[in-house]
Amino acid sequence: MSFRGARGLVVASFNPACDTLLTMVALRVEDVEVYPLVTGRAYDGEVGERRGALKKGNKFESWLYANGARLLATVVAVEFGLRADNMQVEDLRKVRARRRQTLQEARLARTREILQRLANNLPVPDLLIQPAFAVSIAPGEYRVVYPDYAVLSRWEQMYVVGEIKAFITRDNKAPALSLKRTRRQAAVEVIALREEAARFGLEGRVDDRAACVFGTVKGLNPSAVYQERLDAEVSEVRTALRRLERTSALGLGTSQSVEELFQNLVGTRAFNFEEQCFSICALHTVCRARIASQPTVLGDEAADALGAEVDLPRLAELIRGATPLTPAESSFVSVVSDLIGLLGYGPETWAERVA
Amino acid sequence: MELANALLRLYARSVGRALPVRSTYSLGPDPPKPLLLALIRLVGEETIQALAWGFGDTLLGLSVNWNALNRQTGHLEGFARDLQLYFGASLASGRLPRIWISQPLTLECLELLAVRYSRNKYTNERIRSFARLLAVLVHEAACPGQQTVAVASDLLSRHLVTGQSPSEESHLGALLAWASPPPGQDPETVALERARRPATAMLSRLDDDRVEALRTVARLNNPEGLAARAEIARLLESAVREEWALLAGARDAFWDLDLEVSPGVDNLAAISFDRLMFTSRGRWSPPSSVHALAKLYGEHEYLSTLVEALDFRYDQRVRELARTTGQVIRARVLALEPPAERGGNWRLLLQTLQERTHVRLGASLQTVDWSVQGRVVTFEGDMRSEAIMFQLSITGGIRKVRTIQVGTVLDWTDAVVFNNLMLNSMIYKELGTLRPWLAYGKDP
Repeated sequence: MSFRGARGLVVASFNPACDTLLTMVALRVEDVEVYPLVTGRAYDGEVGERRGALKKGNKFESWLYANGARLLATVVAVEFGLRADNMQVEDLRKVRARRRQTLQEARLARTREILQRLANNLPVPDLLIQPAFAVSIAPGEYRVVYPDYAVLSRWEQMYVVGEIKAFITRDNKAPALSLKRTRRQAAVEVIALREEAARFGLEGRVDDRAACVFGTVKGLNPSAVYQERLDAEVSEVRTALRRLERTSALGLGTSQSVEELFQNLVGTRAFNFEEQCFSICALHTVCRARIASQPTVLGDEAADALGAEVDLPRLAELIRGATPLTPAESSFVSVVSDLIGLLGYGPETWAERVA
Repeated sequence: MELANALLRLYARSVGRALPVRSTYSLGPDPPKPLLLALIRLVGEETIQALAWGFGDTLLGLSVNWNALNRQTGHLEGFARDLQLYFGASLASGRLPRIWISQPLTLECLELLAVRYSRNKYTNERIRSFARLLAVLVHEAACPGQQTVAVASDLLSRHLVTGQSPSEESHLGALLAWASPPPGQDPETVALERARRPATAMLSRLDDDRVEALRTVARLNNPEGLAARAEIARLLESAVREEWALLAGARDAFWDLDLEVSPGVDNLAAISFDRLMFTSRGRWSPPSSVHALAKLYGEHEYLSTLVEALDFRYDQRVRELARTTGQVIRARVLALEPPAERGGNWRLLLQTLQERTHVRLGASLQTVDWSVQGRVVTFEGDMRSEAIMFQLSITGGIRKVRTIQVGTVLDWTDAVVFNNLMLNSMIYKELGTLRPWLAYGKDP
């Protein structure tokens, strides 16, 4: 997953307690770029989406956007009480930049124009394809997010952001990890929409929900719209944004080279290693190696149960028969011995098996 | 369980090997010829690009499809034939078939294949009936305690705990590094090294990119196109052979645990066999209507409790670990009261010193050997001794209760098996016939 742009905010929300991660997002540096700076060798693990999945995703989106997004409009209309043949669709990918204006600025300006019209109770399109919303991450710094679509909810008189994902849903089941990321992505978009709406006094109308369209087993046929409540995700992203603002305010990266900065961050253990790091950050092996003597390597639950400050090598020595030196160590040995006895594997049995 | 699990992980780490967390196998022994299936999927489309299958350790067939996007089914024909023959022969001889796959993702691919082809008029009847059989297998695999589909990664995770985190364990290669560590090597180092490559029934990133790049050329009908097809086939074949080796290794590692087979497995195998006899006959299709789904979920609930109760009864390690979460309660009998009036219930006053228990007012409990059942009628904690006292009104096993001595220590569980499947079946049949508005959303 990319650390640049709006995707970076999604990554940051997964582990907002990790300063290294937040710094990468704040500086718009990819984890695979930092990896060689810290380890001295190139990253050779999995990075990014598979080409096949990417192709399918693009094909699926194009199919839904084809012919003035007729198919998307049909799917969305059912859920939002609209009539597909009467829906006004505006494709913001077709917005052209004026002089001295970037394409991004042009799309932002057009989106804001539409929101202004909505605030003035003037007619607005029912469906926006890839509108642009800016979300601020620090004073004077913002990221622009492009939801796949936004549909006007007649009841709230406000747009609901929408995500299109090609992964296959079956019996209302979607792959857990993909769904988790989609929900985070949508949460960033909801926050961005609320920020944009606040410019026109419409923030109260924005609801923490998104309308998702997924793939099905039948080729490029889309599923029905799933309206996902995103209260928890919005809260997580907000936490990440607050911490990101603080990280940016520290001015990291201004006084030293990027290489020194990250070596320093990892060296001083300014990271927060968790189980989920395996699926979000290429530096997980580096961080894991640095905390090899802490219970986190046994998993988040184990770390909670044993306590983060416990020294694993010492506990392993105690298990192998070292003499306890403190009452806490004696208590640990007693608990482990009881458990080992109850489950019927004494150390000698296992020593034999290992031998 | 969290602390127990953490300590076991720590213990496994210190001895450099995975630890069995069960004292019995939850899966019955393999039949003489279990079927093994390894496959490589196309990520995103979830179609099958390559598959390898065989009996026991013998690879019987291997087929690849250089263009998995074209919906052709020629590469599935061989496996379809062998699977149908195997299932037919096993069931006809009264034996439960057994199919081994490496991970749940394989099952998802088979499920999608079943949905895509079971009623597809553009394919042949062999593939359609194969897809229907896959639907049966997928349905079977979802049933708690089933004995037909053996998912290697799930089985190993349920039977073992490693010195790594649960997320790291989800990689089958890494799990095997702990289950059967290479001699003289640190399992953690081996596991981390193996985890650098995905083990989720797909090509390595490098090969995947190469195959995607070759696809365009492979469509051409010229020597370059043929060469590209051959290279794709070679990459897929090599990947599926690796996946096959991983599966065979996982199966060996599982049986090398050398545990006793749980006596409860026979009961589960009989249920599995009866279910397969029903679902594989005729044109069965997975339940989709309200009453059929309700019946299915009722069955699953019953089976989950049955599996749990059998585990607590026959597996000492599962029982001890369940005590740490309070699912099994070890309690001393303090008093035994005969019924106060005619037709009343016997009462047992029990005391437990366990920190965590699933005891609450109104809860049904039974002894782990299923001999006595009762309902909690009073419940109080003693602050001084940190003991919990509770009284059970006995609802089953009166003869056994009369023989219990005061002071006896018994293990109780809230996994109380109550078979109301027959009654539910009648209710759901009626529901299906009447199709009431409340359940079906249509006007009566």
